[in-house]
Amino acid sequence: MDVGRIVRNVSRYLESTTPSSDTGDSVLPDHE
Amino acid sequence: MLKRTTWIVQERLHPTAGNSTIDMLEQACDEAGCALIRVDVTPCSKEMPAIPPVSAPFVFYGYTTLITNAARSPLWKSSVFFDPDLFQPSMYAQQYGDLYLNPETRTLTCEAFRAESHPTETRFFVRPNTVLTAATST
Repeated sequence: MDVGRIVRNVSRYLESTTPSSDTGDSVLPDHE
Repeated sequence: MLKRTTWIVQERLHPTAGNSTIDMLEQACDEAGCALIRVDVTPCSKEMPAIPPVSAPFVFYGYTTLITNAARSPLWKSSVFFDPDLFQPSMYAQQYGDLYLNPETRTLTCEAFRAESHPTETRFFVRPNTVLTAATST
């Protein structure tokens, strides 16, 4: 299993599909 | 702003090909310029583990407890590649076809099964249409 390839591909996908408006603001953890 | 993915990964994953899976992921994240956060997950817990604030995009990697809890959380669910309607044996059989183990598998309700006529000596292997322990333990 090429872990590096998986990480690169998943990361690239998320970085290209996440709207700019969703970045920058930290998501605060929830403890349900 | 440069977007970098944060990987939120469960501690103590099974080794991959004899190597520590989380160490391999951490090295891959380092090389890709991504952050990795290790989280300690209590098996079968219904609560999310403590996770420091992170910015989008982020993704979870771990076992059933972590993924299903994240999927239930309005805060975290957007970063879980998990659809309970697809995560079930009937869908595997439909999508894999002959590649699925026991491709002759049928999905039906107990009522429908009882209504069928089978010789009394016929044996069947029966299992729920779910692979989630949370769904079978509640």
